[in-house]
Amino acid sequence: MGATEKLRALAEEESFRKKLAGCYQCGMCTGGCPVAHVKPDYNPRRMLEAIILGQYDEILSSDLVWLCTSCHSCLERCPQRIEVSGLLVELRNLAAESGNVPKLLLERAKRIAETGQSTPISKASLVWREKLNLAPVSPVNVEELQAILQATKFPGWPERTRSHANGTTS
Amino acid sequence: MEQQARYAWFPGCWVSNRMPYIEAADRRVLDAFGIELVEMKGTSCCPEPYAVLGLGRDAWLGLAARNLSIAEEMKYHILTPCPGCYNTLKTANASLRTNPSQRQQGNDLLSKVGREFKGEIDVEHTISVLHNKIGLEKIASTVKHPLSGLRAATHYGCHLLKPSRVTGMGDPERPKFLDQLVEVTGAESVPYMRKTLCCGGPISSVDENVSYAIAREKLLKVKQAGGDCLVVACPACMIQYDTNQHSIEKTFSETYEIPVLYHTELLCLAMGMTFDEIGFHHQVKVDKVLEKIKISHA
Repeated sequence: MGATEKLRALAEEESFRKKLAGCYQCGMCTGGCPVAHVKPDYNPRRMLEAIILGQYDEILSSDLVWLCTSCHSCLERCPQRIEVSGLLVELRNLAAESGNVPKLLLERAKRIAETGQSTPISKASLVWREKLNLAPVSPVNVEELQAILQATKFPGWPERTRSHANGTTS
Repeated sequence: MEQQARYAWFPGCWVSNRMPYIEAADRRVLDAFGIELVEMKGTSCCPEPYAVLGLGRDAWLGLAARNLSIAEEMKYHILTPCPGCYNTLKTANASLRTNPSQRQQGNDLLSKVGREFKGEIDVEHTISVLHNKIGLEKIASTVKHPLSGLRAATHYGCHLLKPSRVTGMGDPERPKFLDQLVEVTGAESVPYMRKTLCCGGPISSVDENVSYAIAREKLLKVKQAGGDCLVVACPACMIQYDTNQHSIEKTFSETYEIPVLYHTELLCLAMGMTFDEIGFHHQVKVDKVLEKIKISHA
C-alpha cells in the first residue's frame, strides 16, 4: 500500500474519524503555533481540514508538512483534545515513506544510521571534554543500532550501510 | 526526603559531543548534592523527538526501547540533561509500558539484538531531580554568592513540558519550576511576553528563515523587557539563542546582544564556582552578566 492509500485507510478508520469529527475548525491549534505566527502559509487547522476533505496527495507532497517544530502547543490547547502534533507526526512519517523528505533531514537520518548519533563527536570536543575533566564518551554499539533500523522503514538507511550491516550482523 | 542517589547518566549526543560544558555544569551541581551518575555503555542517539520520530516512528520506538533496556540492565533510573532525550525516553517508556501493541512492536525490534523491554525504570531530567527531589530549600542552602541584581528571562522550551500528560512537569502554560530555580540563586526572574514560545530550533535544517524568525520573536521580547540574559534548560534552545544569535541578528539587521546561560551554569556561579571552572564556551559574551553579579574573570 502506498503512502496516500495508507493515509486514506487511516482517515477512514472509525476511531480516527470520530476523533477528527470533533474538530470544529476553531483555529486554536494555529493561533498558538509558533510557525504559523511567522509563516501564515503553515496552518495546522487547514491540515486537519484537508484530511477531513480527503486531500491526501496535497498533504503528503507538501513541503509544509515538515515545518512543525513539535512544540506540542496545538496538542495542549485543542478544546476537543485532538492530539494535533501527534497526527502531524503520522503525516510526516507517511510523507517520508512517499519520498518527500527535506534534503538536510535525510542527511541527518543517514548520519544517525551510520554513527548512531545525531551529532558525532569531533576532535575539538574530545579535547574540550578533557579540559573540563569529563570522561571519554562511551562508543555507540552501531551494530545493534543498525540491526534495529534495518527492521524498520527508517529512510536514513543508505544501501551502502545496509550491505555493510548485512555482512556484520546477520 | 527520600532520594535515589544513583542514576544511569544519559547525556545525549548534543550535550556530550557538541556542548560538553553543559555536561560539566550539570555534573558539578548534581555532585554537590550527592547524586552519583553511572555511565551507560553502548547507547545511541535517544533518538531525536523531531527528526527521527518524524521520519519513522517505528525506528524511533526501537532505538528508544534499546536505550531504555540498557538502563534496565543497570537497574537505575535514567537521568538526562537534555529535554529532547527526556521527551523521547519518557514518551517511549510510557508507550511501551501502557500500550500492549507498542510493547509488542518495541520488543519485536529488540529481539533482533537479543534485548527486551521490561518497563522497570523511570526517566528524570536534571531539573526534575533538582526541583522535585533535592528541593529549593536545600539548593538555597548551598548559595554562597547570591546573584542579586541580575534580571534573568527564563525560557522553558517545549520538550521538557509537553505533552504535559507524559512529561509530568506540571502546567505547560504557566510553568514555575525554572523561575523558582533561578530565583533561589538571588536573581530576579523578569516577566516578558511569549515566555513559553518554542525556540524554533528543530526546523533550522528544514527552513532556516522560519526557524530564525521564531527565535527573533523571543530575543526581541527579552530585550524589550530589559532582561540581562536568557536562562535556558535545553541544548537545542542554547544553540538557537546563543550559537545562532549573530546569524539571526544578521538576517534581520538587528542587534540583541543577549547572553544565554544554561540553568546549571547560573547555579554553579551562585554556588561559588569561578568563571574559569565553568568555562562559558558561549558565542554571545557573558561579560555583562558577570559585571552585574560582580564576578571577575581573567
